[in-house]
Amino acid sequence: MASVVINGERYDVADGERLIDVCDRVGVYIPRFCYHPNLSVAGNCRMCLVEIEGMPKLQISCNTNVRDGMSVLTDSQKVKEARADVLEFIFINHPLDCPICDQAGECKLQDYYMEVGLYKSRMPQEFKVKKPRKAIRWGSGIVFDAERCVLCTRCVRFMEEVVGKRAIGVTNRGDHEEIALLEPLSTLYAGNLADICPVGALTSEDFRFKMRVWFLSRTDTICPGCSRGCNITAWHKDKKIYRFTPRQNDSVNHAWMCDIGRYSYKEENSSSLILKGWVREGSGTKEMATPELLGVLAQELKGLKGKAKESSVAALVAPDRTNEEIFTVCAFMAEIFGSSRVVLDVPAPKGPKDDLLLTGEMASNPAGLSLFAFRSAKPYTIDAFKQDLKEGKLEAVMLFGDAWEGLEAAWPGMQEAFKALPTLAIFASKRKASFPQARFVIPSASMIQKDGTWVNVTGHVQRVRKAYRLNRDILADGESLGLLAEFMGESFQVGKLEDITKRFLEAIGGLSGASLADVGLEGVSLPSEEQPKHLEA
Amino acid sequence: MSPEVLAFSEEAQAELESILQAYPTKQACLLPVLHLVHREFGYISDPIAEAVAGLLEIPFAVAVEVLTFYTLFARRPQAKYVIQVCRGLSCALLGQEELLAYLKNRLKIKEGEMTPDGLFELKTVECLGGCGESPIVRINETYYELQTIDRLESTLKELSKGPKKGA
Repeated sequence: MASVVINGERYDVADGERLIDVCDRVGVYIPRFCYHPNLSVAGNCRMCLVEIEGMPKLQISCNTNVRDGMSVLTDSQKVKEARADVLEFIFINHPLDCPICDQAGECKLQDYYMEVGLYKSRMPQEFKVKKPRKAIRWGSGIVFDAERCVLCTRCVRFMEEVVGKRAIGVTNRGDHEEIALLEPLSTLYAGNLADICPVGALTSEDFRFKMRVWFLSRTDTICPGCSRGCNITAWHKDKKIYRFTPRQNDSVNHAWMCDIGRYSYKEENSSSLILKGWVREGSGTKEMATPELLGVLAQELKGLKGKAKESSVAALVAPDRTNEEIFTVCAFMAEIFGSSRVVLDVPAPKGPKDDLLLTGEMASNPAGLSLFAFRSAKPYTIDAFKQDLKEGKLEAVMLFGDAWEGLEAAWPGMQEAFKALPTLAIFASKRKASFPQARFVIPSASMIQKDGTWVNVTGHVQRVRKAYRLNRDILADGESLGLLAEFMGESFQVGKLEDITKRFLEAIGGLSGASLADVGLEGVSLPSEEQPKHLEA
Repeated sequence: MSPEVLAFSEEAQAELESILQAYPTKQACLLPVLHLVHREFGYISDPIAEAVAGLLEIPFAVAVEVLTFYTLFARRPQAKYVIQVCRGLSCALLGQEELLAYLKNRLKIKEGEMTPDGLFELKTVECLGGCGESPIVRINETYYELQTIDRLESTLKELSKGPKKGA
């Protein structure tokens, strides 16, 4: 332990911690360009200078470790002047083109100028060293502007240390120094370059000039791409998502996300979603408001209730539903149909896998699904379901979710097998998930339209947040099932999200007593003995 | 990487071996190897830098970073004679500007350019350390001291017809 005094306040911190990290944690603000908590310390931008008692010169806080008895000033006159001077040097060769720069609004240079700069430039525009390399397409969705670069080398270090490929380098010397792409980026993590660039030198080709960042609302949620569950921020406006960016969480994704996840926001926008449900009648389909649609479905299901020992209704849950939806579907089947025929071992679609983030399971919650399935002593497996289907024991099947590609790959005749069913209803968000055989397609809330939790590949329970609801026909699965029960003349109380989360966490064990509030922004980890077991194979 | 790019002479090959022996890591050999390669080929283009990087098992980017840091490494083939006009203080006071203007006019090229026949290239350099004999012009590795327009002209004439010697 070390005791340090920062601006007169005493803090107890771990010995040898970086001063800048300590300041960040206790809420003392320090400007920086080159320092990034997940990259090595370069110490080249000199913005994070602080005054340390006993040291004649100012020190950079990113490369200073705290020691006991250290006394630090972060906003003395000397520090303020030094920051302004450093900034002036950085500005010597930087164009003042914020109005046409896409980084404006989230640019460190712009922020610091407003904060400590605000001087009249002593360097006339015509004396600046021109680096006339503008809007160079680097490939992998990254655009480079040489003249805006402040040479912090975050991108160089990211490629070397995180991706493991020395594709970017700093060429030339002095005023002529320049970041250069020396090998093709060709990585699935290139999008992070635009995030970590503190200025407008590296921008995202996808997001560039689409929207000013200050018009966008932010919702902290989880990436739906794969079972890693990278923490992300969804940036949206008028019920449209403009981009996903990673959110720092050192127990899951640090500060990174892959490009597959990053650009998957497109599939969460209305053009990819089912906005109104329909029922198949004869050779055509008929669009219907969701309550009406559920009424028709209720009529078909009503007669099937408890005919034999176990009813002839089964449900399948895809590995992209939230824990709460999984719980609700199981509860609904048990309460209304007295059925335990809920298939929970639907495999996740296969995808790319690497050592960094990508898990190869391209669905958001296979771990939650399998954890909940293991709770049952005698789970209703996909094989048992196939057998029942073959023997004609089933008359109605309800499908919940979008990620069916994994099942389809493991079960070649799936679409054919479903054809024989009198009633097939699918509760799905995405157009691509609407089965051609489905009699009923009921729009279900997509990840940005609902609250809930997912369990990631390492057993970390994380929170998905609702930003908006696109229209009144889109319902969360719990709401749909409540209505369905009502139309069948039954009562099914869905309950509050908090309660379902609590009951789900209790059911899977390991986190008994934990609540939605405990999950919070960073999530909670399951104890190691309760980690998802499907991964051991 | 491709051996034909780095086709060393026998002596150079021997020197390369001794450089590789002299340093603890291959990356540490980069600068001496670049010097050797520059001497051997007269310039270091991207393919040559790539071959050096391959030889030393370091990323291409690292080789290029070091290579471009030092402006005296030529990145393209040089003229047979590289004329370097000193623009240090003494030379400037003693007529460097006239010499440079004369050379530009005589060779019909600007600073940093090469004559179309590849014989001459014109550069200005900072102080060559021969202030006692200003103005100084260096051609390749040779100092020509106390230069006047007449003396330069006769040197140029000499070099234009002179025996072919390596740059």
